[in-house]
Amino acid sequence: MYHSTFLMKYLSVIILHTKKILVDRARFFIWILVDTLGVIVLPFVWLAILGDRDMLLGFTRADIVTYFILVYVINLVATSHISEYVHADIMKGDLNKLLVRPIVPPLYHAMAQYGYKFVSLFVACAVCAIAITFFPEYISLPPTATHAFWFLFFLVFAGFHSSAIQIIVGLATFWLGETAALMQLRHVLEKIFSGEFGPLSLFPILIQAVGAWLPFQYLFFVPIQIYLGKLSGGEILSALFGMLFWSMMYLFIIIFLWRRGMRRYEGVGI
Amino acid sequence: MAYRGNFVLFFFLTMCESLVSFFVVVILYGHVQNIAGWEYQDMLLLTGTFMLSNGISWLIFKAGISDFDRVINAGDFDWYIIKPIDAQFLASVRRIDIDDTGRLVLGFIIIVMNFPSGDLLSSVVKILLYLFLFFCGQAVLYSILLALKTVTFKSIEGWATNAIAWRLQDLAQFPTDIYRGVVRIIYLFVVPLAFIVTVPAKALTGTLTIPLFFGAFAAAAGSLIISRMIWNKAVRGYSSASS
Repeated sequence: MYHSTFLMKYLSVIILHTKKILVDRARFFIWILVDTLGVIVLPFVWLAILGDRDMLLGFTRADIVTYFILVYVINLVATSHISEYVHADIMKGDLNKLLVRPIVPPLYHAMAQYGYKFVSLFVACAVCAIAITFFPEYISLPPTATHAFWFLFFLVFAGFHSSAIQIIVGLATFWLGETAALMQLRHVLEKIFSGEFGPLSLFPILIQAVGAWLPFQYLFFVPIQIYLGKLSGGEILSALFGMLFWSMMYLFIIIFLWRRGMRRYEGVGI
Repeated sequence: MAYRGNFVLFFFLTMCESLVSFFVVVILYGHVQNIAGWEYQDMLLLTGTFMLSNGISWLIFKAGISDFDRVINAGDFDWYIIKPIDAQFLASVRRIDIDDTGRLVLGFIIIVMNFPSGDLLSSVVKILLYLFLFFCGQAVLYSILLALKTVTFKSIEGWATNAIAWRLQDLAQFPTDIYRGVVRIIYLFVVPLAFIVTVPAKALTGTLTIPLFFGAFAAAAGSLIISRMIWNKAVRGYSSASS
């Protein structure tokens, strides 16, 4: 009974924000356009690098185009921007309004983002359908149904990863006040080590070595490598353990920061 | 400069962010010697030009234009119209963002360190061409940003055009020679991003052609005229909410 009430609370947040997005369609399509513009140039860059070659370190032309279509899809359905909302709540005192409600404020913002992501999922499906229909020679499909399953599984956790890191950066507001520098640092690290710019396996060995120890690779690189069939069963299992480890770390850090932060927080004007 | 600590922090932050562009080039050229005819040194010149473009645009007009939706929504635009100075000029340069000078400095350093060697005369000619084409590119960029921002007169979602504008400028950090077909035509004639960074950089690499030179001037003049027309139309449709 308690669990169904808990789920219904946050499900209603998702539904509410889904409806909000459908009302505020202009804002939604503008952000879709922004996400599109963010990745549209990268396939051209890497295809220019590929040149007349058939393959670049194991990546064919189709692999490269598919890679960036999937980066776009993951950007639409998994990445979030919660840190700004958490930061604003703490700085402006809007956290007070959320604290008197039977919800956990960072979780509220995460669920609100999932409402937006739910609508974005349809756009992502439309993009994939167009790409497969009109440019089949540039699309690589997963080699087996197992790879497709694990890609979707890791996609869900990519969403969790993005939300968790954003929440952690947002909660740093309790101590730092202004977190623009931290947000920028997160942005730079994700840009380099997540695989958003290109497959990490094409990067210098040093970056690959550092990236292997960081969680950012689970946002784009690992799920897409699974989709393209470039990870063996053992490597997928290893990635699964790595992802579970980081998921536990995120939960621990968020709970720790939240509890410590609430001891420092002072809200006035309720 | 009242908050010098904040300025220093953002100065270094913007430099670090710009360094990502530099490292991207280093990573890309780990696999090839040449991308669409651009050698490593050429690409660094282009990257430096991109940083310069970003830095100077933030310093002069980008901050003012980005903030314009807040001005409209707060009803402050009325004060712009009644002043004895062009409202477009005032809206564009009202705010300068010196925090972004970090990009400018880094871009300048990269260009100086990779400036092609040659005799004094050819170097002077290259620099003069570069400066002329650079400011033509800034005129194109300014026109694109301003035209997008006029959405604010009609919609309270005008703030979102900031993200679109910044993304469009980010597209210019790679040479437009990598594009083919329709996409190339779009970047040359529809949204002339080619003239913002690629064409000025070609002046330094020695690959500038006469059509591109005159095309840059035409693109700058044309975009300024078109953006001015769009601005005038938007202001004519403006009805103050507060006066």
